[in-house]
Amino acid sequence: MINVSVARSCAGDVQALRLHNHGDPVVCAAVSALVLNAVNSIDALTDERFTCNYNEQGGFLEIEFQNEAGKLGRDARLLTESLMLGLRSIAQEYPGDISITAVPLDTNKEATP
Amino acid sequence: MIKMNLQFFAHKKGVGSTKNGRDSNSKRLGPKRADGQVVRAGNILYTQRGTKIHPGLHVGRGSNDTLFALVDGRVRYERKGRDKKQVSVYPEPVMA
Repeated sequence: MINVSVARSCAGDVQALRLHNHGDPVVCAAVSALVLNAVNSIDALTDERFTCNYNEQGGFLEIEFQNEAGKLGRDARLLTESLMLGLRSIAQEYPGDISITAVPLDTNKEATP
Repeated sequence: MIKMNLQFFAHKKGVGSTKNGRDSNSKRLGPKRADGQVVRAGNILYTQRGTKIHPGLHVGRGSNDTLFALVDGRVRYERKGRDKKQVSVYPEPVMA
């Protein structure tokens, strides 16, 4: 089961995203493609500043945006929302292989995605 | 840029699923005549791959390394040098 934790700012933009664990090969390939492409796209196509930690052998990746007031640029917001849309669609079809949890930025309380 | 590794979140890294549990039929190799046993010329003494046992006196080696008696007589498994073994046949009249 691939676990996805997403933290949104008060403005509603994604501020941090964390994926860990392993999954079914088919679901894994889809999630890997979506996530890695989104991170590479934000890096290459936008001026958004963010930090990205990941495990070379795979199985763990987390990104955190470095912006004031929790507001993303237009392009970065579009890319992150597109990623979240893709992940939610996969989770809908393969509920046993991926779980998405929204966590508030400052506390660890569960929040609705 | 992060390398596009589609197995980034996969269980198995870089390998397809492997299925063990397959094995070829055993070829029943090994000794066919025991030490001290009386044999006739042509009897197979030992089947092997390579020369686990070397041919000794009056023993021939086939193309598949099988050892067989060249004369009638009694089988003897012996040492050959420091760490090798050989099989010989010492001639003896064999009752018909």
